[in-house]
Amino acid sequence: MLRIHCPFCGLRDEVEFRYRGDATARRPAAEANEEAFFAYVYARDNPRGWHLEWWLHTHGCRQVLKVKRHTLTHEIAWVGLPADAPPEDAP
Amino acid sequence: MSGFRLPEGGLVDREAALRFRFDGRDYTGFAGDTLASALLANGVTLFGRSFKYHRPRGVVTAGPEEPCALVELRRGARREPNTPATTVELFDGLVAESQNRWPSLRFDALSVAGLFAPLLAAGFYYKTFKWPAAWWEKVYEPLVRRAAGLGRVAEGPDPDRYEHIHAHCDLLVVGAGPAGLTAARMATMAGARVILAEQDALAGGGALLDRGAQGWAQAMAAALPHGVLRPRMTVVGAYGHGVFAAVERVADHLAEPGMAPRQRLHIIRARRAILATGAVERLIAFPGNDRPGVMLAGAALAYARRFGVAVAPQVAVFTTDDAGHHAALALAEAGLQVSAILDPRSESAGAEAARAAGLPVRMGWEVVATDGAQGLHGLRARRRGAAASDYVQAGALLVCGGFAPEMALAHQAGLETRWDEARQAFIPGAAREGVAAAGAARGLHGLVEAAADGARAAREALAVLGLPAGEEPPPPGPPQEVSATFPLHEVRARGPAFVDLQHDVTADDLRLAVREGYGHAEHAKRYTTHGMATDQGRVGGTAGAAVLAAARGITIPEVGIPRPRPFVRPAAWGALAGADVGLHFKPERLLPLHDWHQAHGAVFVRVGPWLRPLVYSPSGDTSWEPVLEEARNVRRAVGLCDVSSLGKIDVQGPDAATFLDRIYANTFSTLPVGRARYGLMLREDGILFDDGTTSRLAENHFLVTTTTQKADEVLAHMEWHLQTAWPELDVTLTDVADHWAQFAVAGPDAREVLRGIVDRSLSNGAFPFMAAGEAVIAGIPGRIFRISFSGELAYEVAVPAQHALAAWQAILAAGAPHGIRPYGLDALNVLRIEKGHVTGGEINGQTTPGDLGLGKMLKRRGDFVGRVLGQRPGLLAADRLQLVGIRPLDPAQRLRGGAHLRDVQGQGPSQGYVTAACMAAEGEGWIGLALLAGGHARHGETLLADSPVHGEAVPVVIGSPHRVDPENRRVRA
Amino acid sequence: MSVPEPPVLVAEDRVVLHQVAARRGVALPLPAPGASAALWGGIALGLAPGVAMLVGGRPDLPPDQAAVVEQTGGFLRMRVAGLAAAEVLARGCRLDLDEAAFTPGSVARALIAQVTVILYRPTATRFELLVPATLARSFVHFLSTAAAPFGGVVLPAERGTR
Repeated sequence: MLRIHCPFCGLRDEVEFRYRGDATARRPAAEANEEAFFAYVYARDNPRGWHLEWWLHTHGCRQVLKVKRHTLTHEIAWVGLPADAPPEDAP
Repeated sequence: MSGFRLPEGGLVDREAALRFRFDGRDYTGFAGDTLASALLANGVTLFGRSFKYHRPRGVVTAGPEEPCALVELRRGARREPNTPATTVELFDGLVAESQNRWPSLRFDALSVAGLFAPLLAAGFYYKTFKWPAAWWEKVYEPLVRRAAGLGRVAEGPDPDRYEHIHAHCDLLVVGAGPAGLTAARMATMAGARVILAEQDALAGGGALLDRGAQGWAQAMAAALPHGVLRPRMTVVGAYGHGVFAAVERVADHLAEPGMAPRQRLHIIRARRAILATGAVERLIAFPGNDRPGVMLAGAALAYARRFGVAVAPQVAVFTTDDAGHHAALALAEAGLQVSAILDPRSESAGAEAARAAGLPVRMGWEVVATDGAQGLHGLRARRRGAAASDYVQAGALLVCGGFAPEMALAHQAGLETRWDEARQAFIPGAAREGVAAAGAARGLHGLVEAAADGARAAREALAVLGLPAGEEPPPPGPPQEVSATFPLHEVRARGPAFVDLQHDVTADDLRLAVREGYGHAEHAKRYTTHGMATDQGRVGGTAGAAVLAAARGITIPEVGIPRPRPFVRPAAWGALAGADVGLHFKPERLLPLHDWHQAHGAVFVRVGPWLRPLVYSPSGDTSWEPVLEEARNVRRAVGLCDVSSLGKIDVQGPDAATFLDRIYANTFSTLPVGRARYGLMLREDGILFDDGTTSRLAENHFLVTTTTQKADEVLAHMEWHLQTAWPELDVTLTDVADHWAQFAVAGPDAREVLRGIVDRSLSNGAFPFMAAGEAVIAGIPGRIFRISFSGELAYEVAVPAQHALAAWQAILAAGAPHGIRPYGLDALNVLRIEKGHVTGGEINGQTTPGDLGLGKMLKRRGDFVGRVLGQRPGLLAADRLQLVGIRPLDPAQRLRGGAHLRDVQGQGPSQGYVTAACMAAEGEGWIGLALLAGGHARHGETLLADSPVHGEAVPVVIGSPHRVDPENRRVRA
Repeated sequence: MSVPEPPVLVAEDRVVLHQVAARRGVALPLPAPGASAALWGGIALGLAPGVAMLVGGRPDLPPDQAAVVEQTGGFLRMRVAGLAAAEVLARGCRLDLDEAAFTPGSVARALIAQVTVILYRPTATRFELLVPATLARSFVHFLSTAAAPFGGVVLPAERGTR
């Protein structure tokens, strides 16, 4: 069971959150074409390693968090808000 | 040649005698005994029959790693199979039975299986029982079922209570041996919050086997603050992020749990953890190493030192480690006769001490066979390399193949493993993510070394926690010099040499696995089932790895050990469930008027977490009759339906309208204040996600409704888009689903009924179809919406939930002269099917608005979720499954939901399926809705509604889904 | 385990509730998530940045300053009080309720026994829980089961408040 440090609520159990996938997939601009939306909805890198992803704190503050998690070890290196970016040297 | 109680010694209470029954015979033991120690004291040598060959087996260990002495405990619904007798704390009135034998333990009919041993080698079931094929179901499978397995599961529900507890601590110490006690003591003195989990009833671990250290352990445990030491608590899994699960056996040692829960599951979140789980003594594989009387040396020592029991009057020792010599010395002191100590090494410190005490030590020797039918009489041993063997008499052969650190939790926590040549064992590597191993669990030998290592681990943990480490507590005794363990795990000689005692796996089985291509540790495990029993390969794991290594011509570390997974020790299913069982498995969501519905004969149905009235039927009649009466009453006069479970989301802010335009496929910015509009929400891939009615209460204030089932998902969908895709929008979303109770008042008389109790005018001019706004209902400030799901003139009335009953009763009173009746989900469904409104059966995650005839609702200009991918040709194709109405040609025939639509001859593939079916309230017979390939262009066709599951195929005619009032005259009346 | 003074539950009491969310750029004295503050005649419980639940009292704010949404019908308030209160809640609450970790005045919205609850601790031995009204009966079952071994008492609901 993961424990995620929500910036507003503190360290909480995974079950309080709702996973929302790859945070590097950003919604294209309204005028973008079908390829761009197709990539946004379906194409994923699925890395074996560090992954930047969305977690919605559904049973807490209901804020969307951006989390850097290692898909093999489940280590969490960084948690931030949608507008934030992890520091370059985070492992 | 069997065991007996020593005249003195042990930690049992000789004043407290307990009576118990095993295999129908009565015995006595003492408080502090386990079932195994008490049976040994009574001279019992036979404890069970092995899994495959039904060979007689005795007790091998003194702890939870016991592979052979598995018993069936208790009776009736509390019966528990496969419990190691070494872990059963004796209580007065205990009843236990041996397993896997018929008719008795001494004379087991299936022991003839031993004669067929060559045919029953590992994997035999992959190569047998194939012919004749017809025999499998009638002959082989029933036979295999009877012969397989060990114990019997109880029948009937578990009568006991279980609990979950969430716990937090600075430091979790697993194991209260010398390392664990020292670490916990130092940490508590430094001010840390500590949990010290010990699976045994007594703290002490290896210290319990040393007379001097027993007192030390008791003093250390007593010095801990109350609540730190948790006996009978096994940490069963390490899950990462400092999360551990532990099972506390609260009442298993009592005759009946009484008020207490039987077991508790603790979910522990620790900032730091020290795994002081000790080490498990290992067997050596040699022919006949499974005979009753062959046991681990440390077990015999435990029976003497802890339970005051001698395992036999005369014992022999076969050891590759100094621990075997120490055990022999202790047993000689207790009055047992040691007939020989056989050690393959040329010299060792332990051997010196044993020889000095006058014990018969033979260095450079090994055991090649044992002798005795259902108990040991003696063994054959030879000098290593020699051909001739000597006979040595003994009632018990005490084996010590070195020690393997108990590493299951360390593995799960991700600690690396490395091979220690001197200890001949896999030991855990450096600490990881706040979890470290200490003591014997790290491969150290000796109580003093373990205690010192516990102190080291505590200091490291305290440094990270920012707490000051104080002095080290006094050690448990003087340090002891030990020599390296000899790398002998198998003696090659004739006869079956077991590497897994519980699953009857021999060294030859592992060599067979290598020959057949399953030499990898993980493959060999599954091919032979080595290490897959309840002891999880603890006693024979290294021996198995050594056999594989020799067979493959590589080293033991190159073979490795299969990966262990939770649980470390079996736990009752009930412990995992805790209190969330039966009706309380998941919380129930009740409507505000639940009690009223129940009192008025509502039959409830579970819709997700909700309980909703299906029909009101005080007589319990669940036929179509009461449902159709409710529905007809709506069409004819007026009905009242509790729709409070709908999702409701309050949307406010300067960008509210812009937001709704983007999240919905149709437009809401053009909705006038005081109006409601049906909305369609798509997924980004163009598939219809949810529908609902959204009302504009003010310029920047909307109320969104969703379907009951999708309420939480829609809110998450909206929040996620606002926060990640459109953070520039200033919008507040508030979930108000529970604050508002909502009722539908539907039927030609609806306006008349509400006129008297609503403060605002409900005339067609003042409050036309799709109007919405604030109103006072029977003196209660609320809202009213003129929307219709039933297809009749209808209003939905919303009041704060604490006033639900008052409003409901006022509507019923006002409606009494009109014959108002409540109606439930079934009637609601009949009405909406007749009208052709879609619900979850049609919005099923595969349909688009176009499929359901709603394509015109999508806005032509402006961005919305699902716009681009919804334009893909595949989602617009004319032959997609499209919504149609269906009716049987013969009104007397019924329709089945899920029936597939095929051509009238019943040929060809499925062209679609029935999504909803019911008896009509308006008209005769059955009606339904279906999704049919190209359905929009196929009105008038006749097809077959084929339900092979029911054995029914009904000719149906395709038509519009809008059967009742397709021009919508009634709703606009 | 010693048995302390039994916890007492006052079940299902209704209280006036308003959820307040500040409009962007408007500075309101709302408590940060996890904290509480006396405001507008009641106690504001910080739930998220710029969002609080006001218990009692009445906020007087125009829509261009904040979204004020009534939630009185949406929750029932339950009180768990006594020396064993934290131990009882630990049967279903995943938070660290140690007095030093969840100090008096603290607030948390969290999962307790599969229900999303707003938890507030006015004093060391008193907890107030705002439980979604439709899940209240299931939650009372959890509380009374958890409290039973401690000799917990569930007081019946006042008539007419459900």
